[in-house]
Amino acid sequence: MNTHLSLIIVSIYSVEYLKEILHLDDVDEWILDSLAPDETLPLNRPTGIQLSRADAERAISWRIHVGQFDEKESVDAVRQWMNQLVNQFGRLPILFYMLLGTTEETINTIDVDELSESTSGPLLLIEKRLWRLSPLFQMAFPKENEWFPEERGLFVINREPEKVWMERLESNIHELHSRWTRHPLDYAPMDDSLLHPEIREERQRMDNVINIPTTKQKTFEPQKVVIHLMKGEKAESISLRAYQDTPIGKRLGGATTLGGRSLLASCNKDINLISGWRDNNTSYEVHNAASMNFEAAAPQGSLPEAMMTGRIRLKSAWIEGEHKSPALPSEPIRKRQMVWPHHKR
Amino acid sequence: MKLSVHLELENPTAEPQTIVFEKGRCFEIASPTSGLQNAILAKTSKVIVPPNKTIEIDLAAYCLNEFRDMTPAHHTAFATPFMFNKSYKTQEDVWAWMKRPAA
Repeated sequence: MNTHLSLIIVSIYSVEYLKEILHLDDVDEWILDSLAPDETLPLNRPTGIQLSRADAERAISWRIHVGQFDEKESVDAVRQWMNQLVNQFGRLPILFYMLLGTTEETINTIDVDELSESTSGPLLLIEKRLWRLSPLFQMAFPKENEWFPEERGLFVINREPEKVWMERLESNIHELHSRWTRHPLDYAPMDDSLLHPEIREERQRMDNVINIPTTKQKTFEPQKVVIHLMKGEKAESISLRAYQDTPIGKRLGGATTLGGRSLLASCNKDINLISGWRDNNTSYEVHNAASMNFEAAAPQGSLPEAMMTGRIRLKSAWIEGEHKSPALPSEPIRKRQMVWPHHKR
Repeated sequence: MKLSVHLELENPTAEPQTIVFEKGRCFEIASPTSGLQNAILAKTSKVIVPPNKTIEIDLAAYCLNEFRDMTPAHHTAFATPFMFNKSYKTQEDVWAWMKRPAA
């Protein structure tokens, strides 16, 4: 049997970064069908953060048609290919969804929230129909190595030794819980009542500063901005337009809000923009932004704290300097080669 | 390249107010589509604003966006609640961090 295989990769990493770590210049028989335009998603994501459904729905979703796969291939070839994927992405919260090429199912049918309760790393999902139809996949991924979350038509395979996985999960949770101020990405923080009062107070203050979820809220409920696209407008510009914030200490729509998100949006590659999508190519939604290179902090004595408490009024502020930006580096022309092991040149 | 953040601070209270400007505190250009650079403070400093007075200060800064321009004109900015959380000593250090994938 020849099987037309596709691989959907759901990631919160930038397409550019994914290309780099996927070694896509080694692929010659692929159709990269980015379901979200490249430029809309200047994303990065810290290692080990769980993937929520909300993230998945807004994340980069790539469908890679990996071509025909002959059932006569050896089980070892399948394992080698899968191992290659998992090894490449072993530390990253990326979701792979292997399916028959003609399948219309989308990633949205997966309850990623439930899956992320149990794992913090890469998830490899194999469409049930593919597994059923393919003796080869059945041999490559026997039942005892798989976990069936529910009858959702998918298999979940945790390819990492359980010990390693648990250690990393523990480390991640510890890191998240011990963080002084809540990072905007901490959308599933621990119960505030367990925190040191000083940390709790700091977190509560930061909740008022930026749009981050409340305790026990599992996914972002971000401030959503819907704006109309202008013809030919690039997504970065759209994001920036949407991120024109109310300055510190002002109110917007009844909620306390601050500047700062447009700063994150403008820092392009270093930003995690829990992003938007296009609706009939006429509008675009922009959600919360966060970044690994920045963290929210308004300690006692700082300017944001002084402004929020009314000790100080910032009557005006400006930036001045002199800088001419260098030309942006151009994209190298990449040779496309097959990554499937037996086709490797 | 020299960049500075200019602030006009008013103390509306009857007490002197001390403000710490932390190294890494971010300031953003008010018009995000202007294509101009955002800034982070280059070093930590402390300012005391006398009661019922307004003072103006200039703080040395580094730019966050190498591929954006900046001009000597006064470009309106906002304070932000964000801090740059990487170690840096020079402008080049900052740009190096900004180029690096966060993973």
